[in-house]
Amino acid sequence: MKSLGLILVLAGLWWPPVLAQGNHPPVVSRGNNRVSTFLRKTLAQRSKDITDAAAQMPADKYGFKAPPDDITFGYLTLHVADGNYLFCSFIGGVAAPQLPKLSESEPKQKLIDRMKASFNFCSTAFANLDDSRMSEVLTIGEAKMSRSMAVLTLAGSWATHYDLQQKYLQLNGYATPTAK
Amino acid sequence: MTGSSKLLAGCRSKVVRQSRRDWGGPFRAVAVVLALAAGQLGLGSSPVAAHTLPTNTVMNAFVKIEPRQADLVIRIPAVLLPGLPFPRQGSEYDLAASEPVIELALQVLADGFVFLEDGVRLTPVKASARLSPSVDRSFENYESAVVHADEPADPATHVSYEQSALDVHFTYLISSPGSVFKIQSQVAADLGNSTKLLVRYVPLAESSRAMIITSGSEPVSLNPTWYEAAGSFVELGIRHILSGIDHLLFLFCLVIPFRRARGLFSVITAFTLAHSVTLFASAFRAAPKGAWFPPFVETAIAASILYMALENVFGANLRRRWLITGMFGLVHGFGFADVLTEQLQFAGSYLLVSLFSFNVGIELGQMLVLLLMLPALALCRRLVPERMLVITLSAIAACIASRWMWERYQVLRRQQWPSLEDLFRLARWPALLLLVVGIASLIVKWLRRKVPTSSAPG
Repeated sequence: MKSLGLILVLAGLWWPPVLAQGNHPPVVSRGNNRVSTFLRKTLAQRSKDITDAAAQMPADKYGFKAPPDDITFGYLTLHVADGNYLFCSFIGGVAAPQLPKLSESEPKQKLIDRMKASFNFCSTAFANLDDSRMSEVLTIGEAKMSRSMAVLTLAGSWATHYDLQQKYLQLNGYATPTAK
Repeated sequence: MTGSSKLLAGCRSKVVRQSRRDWGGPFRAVAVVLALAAGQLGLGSSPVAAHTLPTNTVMNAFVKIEPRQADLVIRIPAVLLPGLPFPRQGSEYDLAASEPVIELALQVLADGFVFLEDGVRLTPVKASARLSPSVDRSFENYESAVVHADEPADPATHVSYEQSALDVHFTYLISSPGSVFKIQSQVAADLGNSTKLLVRYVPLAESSRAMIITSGSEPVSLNPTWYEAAGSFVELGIRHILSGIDHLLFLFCLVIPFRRARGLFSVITAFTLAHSVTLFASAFRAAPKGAWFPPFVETAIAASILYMALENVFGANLRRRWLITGMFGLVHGFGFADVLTEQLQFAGSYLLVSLFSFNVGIELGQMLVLLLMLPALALCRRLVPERMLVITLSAIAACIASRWMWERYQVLRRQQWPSLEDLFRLARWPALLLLVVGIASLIVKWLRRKVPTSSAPG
């Protein structure tokens, strides 16, 4: 009898919040898969933009760097690939492959191949992604963020890196596909 | 730093650089909290705009508690959300076509801002958002912020994507306004400590409070219970003393010449009492203000270590050590206050409890260190002649302290010199200590005369 009383008391402690939430369905609907669809669409667009921009930069300009960013175009290419493997692995819940470490001074084609492979890895990782686990908290590096915030961060990094590519190309007298 | 952390830190480095340039450390952060509180009371016109904080990495928020609901209204600089593909027309956002992205933003940000009631995560039952130009002043108070965030943006408004913000309003149903509420921001958590959420918490029956939360940190209690506040401040005190290498070195220099723990009692008591006085005084804003003060305290702490080390080398008067330790304790108290004042915003309505708990944490940490230091020194005394041990250890400490003093002085000399008023404020503390010591010694002398000693020889 005492145990039953204890169970009822413990259950009662949970009752008010459950009731409060239960009467009103949450405004955020997961059924439309809005976030995962956005991610796949953005990946398709950005992978093309970023790869095209990397291909457009001549091989001898891969060592070019512009202040205040102080990173070479080669480093930027490698950085995009590393970011893709890290974030896509966490977001998709798929282990990233163990790859040999590349240097930013590697030949242009090798860096582009690494970047293309990373985008392909993302496509595979996101193939079956839906919005059902978007609020799950992931620990990426030292940052804790929900899966949907990781999606936003990855999309933001593509946008930022593509802007940087455009800037580097323009500083060398080239126009990127979207800038044209 | 791990590889992935480096990678995260490397991303969007421009924003980080901007923030590192402008963010002036905890003292500036406290100034902002105070300014926000002043703004809440109608004392300031535009709390954030009035400071040199990097507005591009700072989000502004209000949390208002009503009997049955909680409202969270946030202004997020658009630069923190580069992943949201708001349509653009030239250098401006196309507001008429931005609705689908607003819906996406609401869905993502509902996950990006965690709001907890008594540990249970709440999901918003109502959400709205809009783009606004950064110059919009609706976020000066809660009422205008809510009205603005709920109102659809006029498509004719010019919103430049370099100077814009996303204003979001979430409503959560709560079971009781008396619950403990916690909030966490995950927006731009990849920028590490650079992204801050300035929250003005407006409870139902208490005065409002302001606090600064780092994006990506653990959920922060907006209205902690007294025991939550006490626990977290005891922990903060212990962590602070254990990570404060300069305080530990000072403590080390204090105890090197003492052979018995009994002799240390007066010294440690004097240090504890003195640093408690300035710690409490700082919490009640009685410490001098100005950019010169933190580097002055840092330099003075290094000087205190150097003095103690040199006194050990040249022969210390251990009977009077408690007096000089008390003087230096005042300085160390200001040093402890540095971290405390930054964290007091999280004390809720338990300022005194938190202050006391922080001090308890400092003392516990100090005792723990002494428990390790004293046996280690006793062991060393068995292996090395005592005088040689004292001189060697003190000389090493003196070298370290002199280097710190020089480095900190370089920072101090770049500051604007204090005003006479500031110097007067500072001089009051040693004067107070001397006064207390003077009165105490007079009382002791008077008692000795009045009460004849019973321990006469024979």
